[in-house]
Amino acid sequence: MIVHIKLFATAVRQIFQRPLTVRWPEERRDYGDRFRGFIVNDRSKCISCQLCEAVCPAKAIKFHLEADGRRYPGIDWGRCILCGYCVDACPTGSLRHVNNGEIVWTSLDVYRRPSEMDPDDAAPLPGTKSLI
Amino acid sequence: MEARMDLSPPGDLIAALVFPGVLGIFGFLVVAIWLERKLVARVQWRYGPLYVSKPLGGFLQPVADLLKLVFSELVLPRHTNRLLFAAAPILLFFAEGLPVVFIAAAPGVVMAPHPYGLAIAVVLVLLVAVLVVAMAWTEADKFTYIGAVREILLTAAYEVPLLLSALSMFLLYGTADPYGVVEAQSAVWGAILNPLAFAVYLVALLMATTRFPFEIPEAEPEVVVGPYTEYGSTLFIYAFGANYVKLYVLSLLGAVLFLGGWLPAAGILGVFATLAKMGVFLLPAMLVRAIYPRYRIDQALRIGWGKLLALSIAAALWSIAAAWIW
Repeated sequence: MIVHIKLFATAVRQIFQRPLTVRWPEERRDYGDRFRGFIVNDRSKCISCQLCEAVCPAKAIKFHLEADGRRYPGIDWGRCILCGYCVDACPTGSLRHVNNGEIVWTSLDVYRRPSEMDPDDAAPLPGTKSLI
Repeated sequence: MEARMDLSPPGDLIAALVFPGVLGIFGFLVVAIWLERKLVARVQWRYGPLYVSKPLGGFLQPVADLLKLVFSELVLPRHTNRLLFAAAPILLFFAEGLPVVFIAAAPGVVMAPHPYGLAIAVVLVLLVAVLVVAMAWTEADKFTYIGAVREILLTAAYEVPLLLSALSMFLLYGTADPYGVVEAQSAVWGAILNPLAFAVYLVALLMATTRFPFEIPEAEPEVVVGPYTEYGSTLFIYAFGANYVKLYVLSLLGAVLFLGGWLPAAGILGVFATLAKMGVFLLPAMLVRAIYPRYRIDQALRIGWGKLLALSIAAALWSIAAAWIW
């Protein structure tokens, strides 16, 4: 009998405690600074060593010849799992994570070419509440 | 009968239209669904429905749900008697609301005052329970069949304790008249006069409206929604709303029988007192959704025919002894 009263007391006490859920999309959680989000490449530091392509477990990175005669990585976002192996393997630190992991695409064309992977390409879709 | 006409005809008109009649039932549907979802959500540390009308705390969410249901496609299966399929939930909805005709919310606010009014109301509640099984049978579906069998087993289990609990209160007051029952509680409330009957009534209310922990006919992981599976748009409102109407009727009956009805207010303000006392039954009935798991059908039947029946017999004996002594 006392168990039932304790159950009701717990329930009533929990009513007056704040909810733990986040009212997405008006509020978003803060995951900290080192969150493994969207991956961008700083081409001024990249030395085209192809270590990122070798270490990627999902085979998402492919190298392309760019306009300045050198090869740079492009990421297939249908395959990338945001594991961060390529960022860890990069010797110069040109490949970096952005702090945000909420990635939204508006079509099935999800391949980011090397010229689209500059750090300032990680921008929200205009007119929406998305983040990348 | 002339002495009972405290108010002129508007008395029973108010009862029929405002409370506990039409506006009361439909207002209750909207408020109860919202309150249940919000309460259960807050117990579970989440927000509950907040998208539809955020300044009001999501209060219009059930209205939005009802509107959406009305406009969605009404599916009538080909393999059943379609007239009965459509008629059963409508019949059930209005039959579940019948007992309020005999219950008084305030002096003069009753549709059909009768010397045995509350006894008739209790019997009507019990008789109408079988219409859920009829409704499930017209759906011709294996899930509803299982739900119907469980519903009728559960009904048989709670009927006798509910009836005995109400009967013990009638014995104690010496009357089943809607006014006499409340006037007999002017000194002490019925819940204190016979606490055994009050406890039995609470558990029987949870069993009757298939609330947790007795939500066996509508157990979502097992039978899809139980007896209400095949119903679509408007018929779903009637079918599922009938469940809430039953909760409304049983709460009203409990407030009048056990918590002193409209006392200590008098006149038309008694309506608010009755409403507040209905809340004493409604809030636990909604909170149990977040608290208790679900019984198995054999465990629930064992409780109904074992402990609950014994407790209700004890409540009746207590009433006889108390009526003998005083």
